[in-house]
Amino acid sequence: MSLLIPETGLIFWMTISFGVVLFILYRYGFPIIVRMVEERRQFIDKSLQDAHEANKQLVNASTEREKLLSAAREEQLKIIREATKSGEKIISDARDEARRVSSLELEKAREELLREREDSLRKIRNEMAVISLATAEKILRKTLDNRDSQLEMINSILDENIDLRS
Amino acid sequence: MTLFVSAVVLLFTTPLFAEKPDIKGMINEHIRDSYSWHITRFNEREVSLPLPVILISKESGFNVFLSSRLEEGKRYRSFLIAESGQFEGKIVEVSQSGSERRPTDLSITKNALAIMINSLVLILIITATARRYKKGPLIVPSGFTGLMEMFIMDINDSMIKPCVGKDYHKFSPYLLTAFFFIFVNNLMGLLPAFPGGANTTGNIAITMVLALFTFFTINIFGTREYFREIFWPDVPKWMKVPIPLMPIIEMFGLFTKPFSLMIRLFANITAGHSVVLGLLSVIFITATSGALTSGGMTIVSILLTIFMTIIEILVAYIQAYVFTMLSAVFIGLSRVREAHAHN
Repeated sequence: MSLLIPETGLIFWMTISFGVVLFILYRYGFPIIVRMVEERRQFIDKSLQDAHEANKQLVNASTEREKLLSAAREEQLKIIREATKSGEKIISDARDEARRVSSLELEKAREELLREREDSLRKIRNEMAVISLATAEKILRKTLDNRDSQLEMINSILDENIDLRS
Repeated sequence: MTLFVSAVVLLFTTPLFAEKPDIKGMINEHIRDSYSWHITRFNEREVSLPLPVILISKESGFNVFLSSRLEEGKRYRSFLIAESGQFEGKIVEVSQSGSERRPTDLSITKNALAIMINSLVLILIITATARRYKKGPLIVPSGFTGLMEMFIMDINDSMIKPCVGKDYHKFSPYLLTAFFFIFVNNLMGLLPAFPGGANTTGNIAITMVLALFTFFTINIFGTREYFREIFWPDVPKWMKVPIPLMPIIEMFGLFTKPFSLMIRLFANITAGHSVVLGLLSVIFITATSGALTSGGMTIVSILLTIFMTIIEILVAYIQAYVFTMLSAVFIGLSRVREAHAHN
């Protein structure tokens, strides 16, 4: 039966021992361990989350870069295409201009030529008229020195004119 | 042939020792507390560690001396260890008239010393674990510290947290201390010799103190709702008004909870020690019958003892776990909130 009766002395020493253990472990033991482990756990959780976030950002950045790159490539193509087009346009414009200018020059030259020819033709004609008048005068002076021949002449001219009218 | 048969018969029947061993006395002596720490018997002489005896008596005042002075029924001053009667095995003071009286006995007995040694072991282990974190929380401990961290956090996370509930942080140091205190004491009790082998957690005084700590924790930190449920529970009025039937039952429950904690731990550990010792004693019991029986039974006994010791290691953990878990549950129950209670 004495097994079931608690001893005063043992209760005393046990209370002191357990109290001391509890005090020491409360101050220097378990709370420190639990706190540190929980801090570490939080840190690991946070790190994992950060890593996840960073990964997501990395993926985002790479797609962004890809997008940017493709946009740039497109832009480049567009620029090249435009440049080609504008170059072609410039060349064709220049060609047109040249053609226009040259045709203008040509026209001018032709006009000049024509005018010159007319001029010269007129000159020649004038010359010819003067010459032929002179010649005709000379001839007439020679042939019409008598009255008969003068009358014959007039009559022949009249005939000719009547012939033309009829 | 006849010679062989008679030899076999002789082997089975001739006792090796004539004396019948006192198994009950041996087990009792082991399970009980004592004033000196008996280690072994060497060359017909008892080797034991004498421990300080501290007595406060009304007649002779304060007395401190070593327990070796009271060995084998010797008498020192007016004190001696009673051999029979009401105070069997305890120190009594014999007065002039010859009557025996029990003085206030604050002796550092075997169990008291064992408790101190085990406490020291526990403090060293836990503070060593905690000291590793001084470098910062990000250093992951390895080896023994890592094991202890895993062990502590397992108890903290899978038992204390769900059992206590919301503000478990406040109680986890106490519950962890209780767990590891019981666990270390259980394991040290399983060691066969000094400084282990003391049946500390199988002593009612020790389990009582542990249960009282839990009792005070429950009732000091109990919420108003918890006390209302005790003194004015939600039952029909006639059950509490003329005769406070339910409050009495609830009040009773207040004390049965720690009482069950006390008895459970005490009984389990004591029973475990008794069974291990009993099985081991089979060797000495069969030693009185022949050599072959004795030899065979010795093997059986040792195998069973090994088996039981392994079971006891399991029990050491389970009982520490059960005590702590029930304490946690009781604390959790005493932390009820009003809204929670009415649901």
